[in-house]
Parts: sequence; structure tokens; C-alpha cells
Amino acid sequence: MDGLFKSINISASGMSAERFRLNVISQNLANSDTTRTENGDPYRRKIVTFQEVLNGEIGKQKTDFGGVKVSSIEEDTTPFKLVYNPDHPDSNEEGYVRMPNVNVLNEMVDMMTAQRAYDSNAAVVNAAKSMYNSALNIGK
Amino acid sequence: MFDINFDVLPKALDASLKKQQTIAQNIANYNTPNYKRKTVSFEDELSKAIDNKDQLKLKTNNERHLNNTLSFKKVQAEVKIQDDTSLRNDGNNVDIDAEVSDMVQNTLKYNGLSRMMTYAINRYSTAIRSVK
Repeated sequence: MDGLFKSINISASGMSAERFRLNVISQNLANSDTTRTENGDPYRRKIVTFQEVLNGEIGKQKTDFGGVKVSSIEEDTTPFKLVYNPDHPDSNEEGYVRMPNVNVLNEMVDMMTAQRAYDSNAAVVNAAKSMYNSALNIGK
Repeated sequence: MFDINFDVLPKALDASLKKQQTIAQNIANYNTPNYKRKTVSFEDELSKAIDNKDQLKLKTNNERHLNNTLSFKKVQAEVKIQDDTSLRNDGNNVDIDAEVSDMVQNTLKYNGLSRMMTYAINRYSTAIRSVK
């Protein structure tokens, strides 16, 4: 019984991780034109990294699955784009504005993979539910 | 008293459950860098234990006797890591389509096995009731 609920919990961890990733992607997209942040620089693209969760005895192969967790949010270190726009309040002496290093296309692709992964996790929850129902019907 | 179904079917149901957890873990880690997909091997081990005709068996009549073949009662679902492939740049090798189709197959298998368990029980109920 614990086993079936565990697979639902694993999928739930996957769903919350993908949802978190989607939050960061929308943050990136919302700030794709932000030229001013608290530290004075333009907005830097944020990247979420995931990590597998495994429980079990130390030294042995761990087979007690715990799903996935968000391990860190890191900043993309690629340089800012320079756009010539002398009228912009944040332009430098030569008339260039430093724009965020957010690539909208990349973000859209990441959004799609996050969405598909979320859907797949939801499908696993449904499958586990159907398995649990049929186990309840044993002997009927 | 009970037939082989009552030994094998619960084992197969357990293995199917473990497989479901493994697939859930693989899908949950679809976007984890350097994650390698995990698989469960049970059917191969079970068929080896049940009908290994090409191997000469030692005759035993006690659990503790020397035995050269694995009893199917001791077959466990084993988790293996497939770490020799890479599907993406980040080292992850989870193929989401393969996992989802595995999951659908596994769900159908579990449902089928639990129905077989019901039938196995019903056969005994029928036998018990018809004596009346």
C-alpha cells in the first residue's frame, strides 16, 4: 500500500519541481527587457537545476526512490546583449544599452519541456490510481 | 493447500509496483542533468527460476538443502541503472515516450495480474461452495 502511494509521491515531487521551473521561466520572460535591477546591472537569466532524491542504506545501491528536488537556482553568466539606443535612460556614453541575456526562444522551448514533463508526471499519478483501484478489487 | 498462483502472483504484483515506482522516478527526473534511467528486471529472473530445463537440478526435499537453482520464491525485483547511453547534452538518458508507454503497459499488466489473483481466489470459493 505504501508502495503505490510512494509512486504518487514521486510524481508529485516531479510535478512541483516542474512547476517551480515554470515559475522561473516566467520570471525570465517577464524580465526579458529589464535593464535595471537592485545591483544596477540588467536582469540576468536564472537557471533551475534539479537533483535526484534517493534514500536507503549507505554503501548499498539505493533503491528507495524519493523523486526529484530543486537543488539550486543559478544565474546565467553569458554576457549581456548590447543594443544601440542613445535615447534610452540606461544607455552609456557611446549610446549602447546593456539588455538582459534572456533568449525568448530558449525560454519558450524550456517552457514546453517543463509542460510536457508535468503532463507525464500527471499521467503517472493517474496510472498509479488505476492500479490501486484494481488492487482494491482483488477477491471481489 | 494453495496452488502456485498464490506464490507467483503476489510476487509479480510487487515487481510491477516496483516498476511503477521506477518509471515515476525516471519521469520525475526527466530534467535532472546526468540522471540515468533505472530499469527493473523481474520477468527474466522469474522465468529462469520457474523453467530452467536445460540445467540439471539437485534433488532437494528441504529448504536448507544444497540447491543449484534459484527457487522462484526467492526471486526479487532488481533495480538496474542503464548508464551506457546519453540522449541529451546534459547526460540525461530518459526517453519520455518510452517511459510513458512502459507505464501504460505496466498499468495494464498490474490490472491483469490483480484480475488473475481474483480468479485464483474465486476458483477456491467455487470449490468450497459446491461441497454444500
